[in-house]
Amino acid sequence: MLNEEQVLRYSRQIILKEFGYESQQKLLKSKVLVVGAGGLGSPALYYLAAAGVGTIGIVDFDTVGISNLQRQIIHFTEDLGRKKTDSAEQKIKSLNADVKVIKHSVRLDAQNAEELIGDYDVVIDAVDNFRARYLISDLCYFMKKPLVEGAVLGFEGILMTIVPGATPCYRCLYPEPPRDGVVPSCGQAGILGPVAGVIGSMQALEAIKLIAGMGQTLSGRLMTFDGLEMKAREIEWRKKASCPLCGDNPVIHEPVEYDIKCKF
Amino acid sequence: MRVRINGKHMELDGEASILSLVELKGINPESVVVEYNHEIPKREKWAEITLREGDNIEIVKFMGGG
Repeated sequence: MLNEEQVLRYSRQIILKEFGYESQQKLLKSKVLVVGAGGLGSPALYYLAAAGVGTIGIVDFDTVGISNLQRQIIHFTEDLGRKKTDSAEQKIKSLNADVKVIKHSVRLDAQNAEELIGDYDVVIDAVDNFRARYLISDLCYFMKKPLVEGAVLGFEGILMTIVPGATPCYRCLYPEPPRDGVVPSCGQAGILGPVAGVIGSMQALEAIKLIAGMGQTLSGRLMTFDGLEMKAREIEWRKKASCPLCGDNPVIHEPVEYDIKCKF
Repeated sequence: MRVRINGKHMELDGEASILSLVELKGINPESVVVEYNHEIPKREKWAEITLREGDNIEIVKFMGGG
């Protein structure tokens, strides 16, 4: 049962006929893990918290640096040097006390990933490197956790929602990571804040849809966003029989942690 | 020969493979995956697949930033 304040707080989404009272109850009971409290994680965390996701887990080992502030809007100037998990928790709590925040101030790796992801209903991949992306995607596949994948670079972003067993997986699109030094990171190639804002906000939207069971999630298709041209495109993206993870003869039987370096 | 690349029509002179098209566009082939007529061919096959009139090609960058 929602209390009176909650009915008022969430009234604008409760009146949506596709969403309604029941979905609000589902959200308040749901647990979402956001891996990375950076450019994508910031807007995702804000919208999940504001919408009343009951438990939000945040994985980030990093501290707030001055070059983060142009896009990582959950962190303020006064947070410089603080752990990103502490900084994000404070904003979430002051936005919505209904939300329970679980902080995981560690670097996600093959040893801790399973335990970190285990408790959650939906995982949002908001990390900044391929090592963690492949690890998260493999693990969510083996643990059958719905995963909202988002990534950005420069003025562009991509987004896809993966429901293990039901939709194509990350490796159906990208079977193997790029070689060392081929793809630049945001630190090297740059990123405009609102581009991360667009993709991170859409990740929150997809997570809310998954929990509420409404609409069509971005599955079996991939969205690409070009902020410079202001164009969003949808690319059909099928389950691949030769996929090393979810294909007919999979060769990956446990999550892989790659050692991939960006372009220098 | 007209093909469709990332939603845009492109006129190609003469024969081209997926690999030569990607290179023609000045893209490092290792920095992208290619969807060819809604299938994702293996990278090793790119040089062998000759493009035909009306083919649909999506070049999707590796993107890992967040």
